[in-house]
Amino acid sequence: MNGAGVYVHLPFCVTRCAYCDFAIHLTTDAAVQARYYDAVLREWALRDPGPGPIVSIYFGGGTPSLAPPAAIARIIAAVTERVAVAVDAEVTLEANPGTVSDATLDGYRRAGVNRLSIGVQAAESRILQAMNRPHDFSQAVAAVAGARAAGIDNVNLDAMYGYPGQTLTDVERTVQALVELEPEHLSLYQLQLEKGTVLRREVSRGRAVMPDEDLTADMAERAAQIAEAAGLHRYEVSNFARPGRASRHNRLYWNQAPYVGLGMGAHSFDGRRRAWNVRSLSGYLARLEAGQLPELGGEDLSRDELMSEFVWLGLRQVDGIAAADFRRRFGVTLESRFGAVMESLSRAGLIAAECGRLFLSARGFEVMNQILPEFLPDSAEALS
Amino acid sequence: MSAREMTPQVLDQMQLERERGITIKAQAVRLSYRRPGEREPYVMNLIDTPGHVDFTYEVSRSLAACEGALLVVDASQGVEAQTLANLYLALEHDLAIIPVINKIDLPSAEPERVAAELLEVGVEGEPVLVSAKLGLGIDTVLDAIVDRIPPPAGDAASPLQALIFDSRFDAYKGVLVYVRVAEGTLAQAARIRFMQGGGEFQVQEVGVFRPALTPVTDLQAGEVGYFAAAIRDVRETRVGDTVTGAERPAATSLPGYRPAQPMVFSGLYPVDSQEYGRLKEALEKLQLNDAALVFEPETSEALGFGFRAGFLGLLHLEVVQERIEREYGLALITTAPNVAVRVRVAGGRELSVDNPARLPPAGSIEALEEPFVNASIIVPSEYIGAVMDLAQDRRGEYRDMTYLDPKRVLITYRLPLSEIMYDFFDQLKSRTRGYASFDYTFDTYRESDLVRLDILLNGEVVDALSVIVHRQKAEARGRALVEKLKELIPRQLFEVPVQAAIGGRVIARETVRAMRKDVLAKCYGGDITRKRKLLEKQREGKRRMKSVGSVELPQEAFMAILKLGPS
Repeated sequence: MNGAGVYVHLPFCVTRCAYCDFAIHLTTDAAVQARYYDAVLREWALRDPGPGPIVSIYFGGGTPSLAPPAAIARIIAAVTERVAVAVDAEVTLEANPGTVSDATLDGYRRAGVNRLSIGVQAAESRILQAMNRPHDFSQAVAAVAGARAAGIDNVNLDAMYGYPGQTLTDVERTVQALVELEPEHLSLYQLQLEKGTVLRREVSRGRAVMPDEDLTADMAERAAQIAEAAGLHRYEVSNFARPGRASRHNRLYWNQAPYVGLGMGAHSFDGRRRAWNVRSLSGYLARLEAGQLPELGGEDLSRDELMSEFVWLGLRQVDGIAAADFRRRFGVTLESRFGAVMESLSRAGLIAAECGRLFLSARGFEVMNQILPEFLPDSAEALS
Repeated sequence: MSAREMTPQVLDQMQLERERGITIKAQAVRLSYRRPGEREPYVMNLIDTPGHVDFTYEVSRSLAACEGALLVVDASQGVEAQTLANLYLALEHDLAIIPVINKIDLPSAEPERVAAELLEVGVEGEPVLVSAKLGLGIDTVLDAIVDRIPPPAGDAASPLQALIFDSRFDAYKGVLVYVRVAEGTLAQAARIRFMQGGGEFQVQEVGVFRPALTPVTDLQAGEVGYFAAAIRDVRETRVGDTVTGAERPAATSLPGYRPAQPMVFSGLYPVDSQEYGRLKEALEKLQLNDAALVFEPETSEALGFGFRAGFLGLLHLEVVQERIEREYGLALITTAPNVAVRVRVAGGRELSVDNPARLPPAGSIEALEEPFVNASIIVPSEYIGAVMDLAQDRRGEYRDMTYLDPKRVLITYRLPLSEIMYDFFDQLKSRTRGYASFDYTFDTYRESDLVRLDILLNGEVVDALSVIVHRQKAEARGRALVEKLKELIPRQLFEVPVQAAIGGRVIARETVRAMRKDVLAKCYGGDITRKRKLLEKQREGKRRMKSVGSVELPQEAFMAILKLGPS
C-alpha cells in the first residue's frame, strides 16, 4: 500500500477519564485553543510533508469535536496546500457524544471530514460514570444520527471491555447496542491499566477490581461474535469493519507507512526515523512560538529493527503480512531473516503461511503478546 | 567511636542483618577499659556472635579464639533453647563463663527466676544484672571480665602462631585475614606463611577493630586483629589455618576447626545459563566469608549447569541466596532444600545422596538412612501437650523432660532433620503462642522408610522438583505439591498437566489451563514505541523464567514444597 498519513492531536477535554493517560489538556478557554491551532499550523509548516500522496488525515484526541469546524478546515486546507492529498483520502475526526451538534457536524463535513469516530465506550450509565465519561448513551445515539444527517457515511464506534465492575452481560448489551446503530466500523478494545491514571490508583488501593483473565477472555469472545454476526469483520486485534471500510489510517500504522504527527505528544515516522513531540501544552506552545520543532525525542531505526517492526506490527492484522512486501522493502526474504522463529511457531500451530502471506493462526491471534516478542531483534538472533 | 557513628545494632554491618534484626556474621571489636583507681587500662577483645542454630559454626569458631564467654539471657524470656546450645559449645571449649541477665529495665523482668533457671541448667557463678539499653551494669560486666576471665597466655617473643577465625575480601587491600595471635608477634612488613595453605606473603597492614579497621604497628600474643598482605586469591586463606613467620616458623600449627557439617542441600542454578561463571565466582567469594558454605558443580536435566550447595540450615540457605542476588545481581533458581540420605545398595555398598534425583532405583536399595537431631524445646508447662502432638506428628521420639522452674520445662526429642527443616519452628510457635524456644544438634543417621516423590510436567519428570519423603506422608505431600504448583505456574500457551508420582505410579494430578487471551490493545496516535516497550517487557518477564521442556517455570515453583501448609 502506498501513501502516507497525517495525524493531528487535539488535546482539549472537559474532564479526564479515569483510565486516560494521553497527552490531554483540560480547558474550555477558546483563546488557549486558538493559540494551539495556530501552533499546529506552524508545526506543519516546519515539517517535511514527504512526497505524498496523503491517503489519511486523522484528528485524534483529546476531544477533537471540541474544535470549531473552522479550525479543522484551516488545518485540512494547510495540508492540501503543501502535499498531494488523494481524492479518496480518509479524513477522520474523533468525537465525544454530547459535544457535537447538527451545525458542527455539518461544518466538519464541509471542512472535508468524511469519517467520524465516536467514543461511546459503554452503553451502561453505571460504567460510563465509573469511567468518568461526561456523557450518557442516549447522546451517543444522537451523535450517530447527527453524523448520518450531516451526510457522513463512514462512522466508527469505540467501546471498551475489561473495565472494573463490568459484567459479561454489560459487554454483550453494549456491543449489541452499538451494532444496532449500524456503524461501518467498530473498535472493541481491552482496557489497559496505565501508570499515573486515577483508575490504576483505585485498583492498587483495592477500591476497583480488574476482571480476571477468564472473564476478560469471555468478554472479548462474545464481543467479537456479536460484531461478526452483524457483518462487521475483524481485520485487526481491536478493529472490525464492513467490507471495504477498514480504517485506512489504522492500516498505515500496521503496514509501516510514513506519517506526520502534529500536536502535543504526537509521533511521526518517515520510514526510517521515528520522533515524538513534547507532551505538555505549555512546552508545545513555547517551542512553536519560538519557531522550533516541538520534538522531545526520536530514534533512527536500524534495518533489522525495521524488519522486526514490519513483522510484529503487520501480524496484528488478521491477514498478516505479504511475503512479497517484505522482500520488496528489505531486499531479502522473510525466511532468510525469521526462518527459525517461523518454523518453531508454525510447528506449534501459532502462525501459518498461505498464498504468499504470513499470519497468526486463530489461536496465535488470541495470545499474540506471547508470540510477537519472538520477532524482536535480539531474540530472533538468539533463535536463528 | 563518636556519637554520630553509634547506631543501634552497630556491629551488624550487613544490610541483611539490619533488615532482619539478626546477627549472621560474628563481629570482632577491641576496647580498652581503665578501672577506677588503676593506672594501666585493660585491653579487651570481644566477639559478638549470632544466636541462630544455623550459625552455630560461626559461634564455635569465635569461641576457639577466646578465653571466656558472656552468656547473655533475657530477664523476661529466661533461659532459651539457644542459650543451652551456646552454653554447651562454650563448655566444650573450656571457657570461663559469665552469666549476664539483660533487659532488667523491662517491667516483665524477673531476674531472680532467671538466675534460678541458670543454676538449674548448670551455670555457676553470680549473674551480672544489666540493661544494655539504659547502660546499667556495664562497668560490672567489664569488672567481671577482668576478675573472672584469665588473661591470655603466650609470649610475644616466641615464633608466631595466629589462628585465622574469619576473613573477607576488600577490593583495595585484597583478602583481610582476621586472626587471634596465640604466640609471637605479627608485625607490619613481616613475611608470613599459612601453615596448611602453604602460601607466603608480605604483610602490608596490621590492625584492630574499633570496630572500624584501625591500623597498628603489630599484634602481639593474646591480641585479636586483622592483616592484609595483597592476597588476591580467596582460597589462600582458610579459616582455621595457622599463620606463622616465614623466617622463623613455629614447629606446630594451632588446633584448627572441625570442618562445618552441612545439613541441608539445595541446587543453585543461574536463571540465565550464561551466568554460570559469575555464579561460581560469587559462591567462591561468599565462601571466603562463610566457611560453612560448601558447593560442587552439578548438572540437572531441567536446569542445566549449576551447583549443589550444602548449608547449615534453611536460614543459612536463605542468607546465601539473598546475598548472591543482591551483592552479585544474579537471578537464581534454588531447588527445594533436602537432607543428605545414606543409601545401602545391593552388595552392601553405602553411598551418601544429597540430591533426590540421584537416588538409586528403589529395587536396588537395601536400606535408607536419614539424619536425626536432638531437639531441645523450652516451653511453659501448659504447652507440653501441644509440643508432644507436634513432635509425634513429625515422627519424633520422646527422650526427656526437665522442669527448669515450676512453670517452664525443657523437653528433648529425637526428630528427623527433614521434618523440622521447613515449618517446624513456625508450627511450634503458633501452637505455643510464641512461647517456645527451639534448638537442635545433629544426633545420628537412622534407618527410615523413605521414597522419592517425582513431579512430572507435561508427562516428563522434572529432576529438579523431586523430593525424598517418608512413605506414609508421600501421598499427602504429593497432592499438596501439585496443588501448589498449579497455583505457582502461570498459564502457558498449552495446557500443562502437573503430576506427582512414586516409582512411576501417579498419585496426584492437576492441570494448569492454557492461557486464553493475551493481546495488545489499540495504538494511539501512532505511538509504536510504547507497544514495542510492552513486547520487550513481556520478553524480559519470560527471561526471568526457566524453560523446562516446553514449560516456563517461575523461580518460586522450585521452592513450592516450602510453601505448603502443615502436612
